[in-house]
Amino acid sequence: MLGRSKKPPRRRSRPSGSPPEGGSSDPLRVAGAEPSPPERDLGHSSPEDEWRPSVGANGPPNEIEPLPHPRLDVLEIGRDPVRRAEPKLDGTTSPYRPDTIVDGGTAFGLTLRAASVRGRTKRFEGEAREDDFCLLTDSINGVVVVAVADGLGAATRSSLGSALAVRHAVAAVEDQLAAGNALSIDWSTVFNRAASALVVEHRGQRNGEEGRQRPDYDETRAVSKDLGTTLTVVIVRRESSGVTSISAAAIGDSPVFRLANGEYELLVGRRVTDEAFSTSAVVALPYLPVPETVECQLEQDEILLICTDGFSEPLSEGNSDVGRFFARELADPPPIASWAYLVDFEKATYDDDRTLVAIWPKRAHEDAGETSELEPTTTVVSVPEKGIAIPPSQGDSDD
Amino acid sequence: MQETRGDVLPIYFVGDESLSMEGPPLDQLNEALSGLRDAAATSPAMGEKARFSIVTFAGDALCRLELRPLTDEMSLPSLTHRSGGTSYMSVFQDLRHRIPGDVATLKSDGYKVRRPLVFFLSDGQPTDKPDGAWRPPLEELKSEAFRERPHILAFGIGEARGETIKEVASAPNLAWIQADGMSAASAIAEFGASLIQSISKSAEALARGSDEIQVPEPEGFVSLKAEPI
Repeated sequence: MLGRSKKPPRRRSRPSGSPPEGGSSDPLRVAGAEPSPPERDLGHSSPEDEWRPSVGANGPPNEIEPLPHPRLDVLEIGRDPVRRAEPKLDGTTSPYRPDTIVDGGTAFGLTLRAASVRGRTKRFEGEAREDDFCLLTDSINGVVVVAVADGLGAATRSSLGSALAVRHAVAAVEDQLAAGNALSIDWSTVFNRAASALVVEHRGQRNGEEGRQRPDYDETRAVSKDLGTTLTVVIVRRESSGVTSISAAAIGDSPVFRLANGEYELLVGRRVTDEAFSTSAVVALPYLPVPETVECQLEQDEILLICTDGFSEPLSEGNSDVGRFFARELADPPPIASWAYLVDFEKATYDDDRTLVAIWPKRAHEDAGETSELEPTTTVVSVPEKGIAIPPSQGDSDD
Repeated sequence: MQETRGDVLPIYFVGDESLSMEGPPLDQLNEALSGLRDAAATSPAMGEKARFSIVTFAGDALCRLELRPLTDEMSLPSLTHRSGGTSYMSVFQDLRHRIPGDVATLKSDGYKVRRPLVFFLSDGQPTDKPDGAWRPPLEELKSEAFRERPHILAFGIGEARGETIKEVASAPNLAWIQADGMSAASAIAEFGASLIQSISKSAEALARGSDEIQVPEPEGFVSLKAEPI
């Protein structure tokens, strides 16, 4: 039956030129948008009035019609004016560090979108993105692994620190999965390996480091100032029963949220704050306090979010314009390129690097046979019985 | 639903408009402030996170610019010399009352407020009577009991004495005095460059999630905490 699908029609993303709901006073707006022509109705238009690029059969390849709407400009959230500047290309960082990375796809009935974007101030200054993520799928166990890290602003090579941490953490999980430990990941081993990678990298580069001959030389502190980074690792498993189980652990303030019915529930990655004052001091690798961990399940209509504080700060526990906007936009997984567009929203006074990974359980309408009876969602916060190799210690403040 | 807002850094330029600043010094100072505005207009960190106010003093204190973001379209007030002496006392008293009000306004608008910075510039000794009358209000401004106490960076040119400028600064390493053989106007040009650098670097540090205040100086730089209040 041509033109019809079992799936309900997908909600279209807003064309760039059309005003969002609420009109011009809505704090969520597309910057630079011009008044748009009437929306195309993809569902009912006849072939004659349906727009399509005239490539191939409709003419020579160089006669491509212009897009019907203005190009997507940057997404702005909020009413305060945003200062925009052309980003400086960061061609100096080694290893090469792209401004934006975006990825996504489906595996084992899970749909995933991931993006890490450079903050506006770093773009303006031509500095490298300090956030990073790494993904892994394990077909034997039906598992998706996500690691997210936020290099400390004060660390000299924070970009490298976060890159090393996510890759080594994912490799450590992969080893445990291969050894048949999918149901009981040893988090201390995972974080220990990531921290060790930072230490090894630092030792390889520390020639000439001042003070290392002194008796009070503190190597962990020196590594923190060189490569310090937060690290959050999440293992998502689609059980044969259809239940989606989550195992997550974090050192530092890169949080994991469960988004259900517009509410953002923080699972791990709390920012340790003073009662009276906000603070930017964070616990981070290579320091190895006992990680925050959680075991829980994800219902079919819930979404798991793994992010850095570049997202969680403007999110502000979800009770915000950003929280409302993303709760709405995340109802369905957007196309991969649109994901980078969403994550790269601009909001005045928030210009940190921003990483957001979202995981949707297989949608109910995609396979009616799998959606029925899920166990009630339960959350168990566990604390390992013993600490990890390097003694727990308070991380350097971000100064 | 209140819109979420991030960190802002209130900055007060506190400048001398006494008669001795007439001519090239004030001309240069006005130029420096224009340079600051132009720099802020293009920088995401400075433009969005810095809030800027201009308070001047001669015989009394005068607010030339209420605390606000710097934008390229704004016209800055022109600083002009005034009579009546060089009253440090009046301007310290003004700041002691002005800063808490500004911080409260920002907080009520939903911003998180970092400890304010004061850039103090004078070309002469205080003329407050009796001698030393300016000290108690300065102590009050710097007191730890004053929750919104600012960091004070003090710059002395012309007839200003090093020991006085050092006393005004909130830390000994935040005081600078004009180098020998330099004109007041060229010292102010240097001050302007330092002002832009300090504000720019401090705002960027905030943007990176760090609360470090960067203050470049000819011999390198010193850093101090701009902890939240």
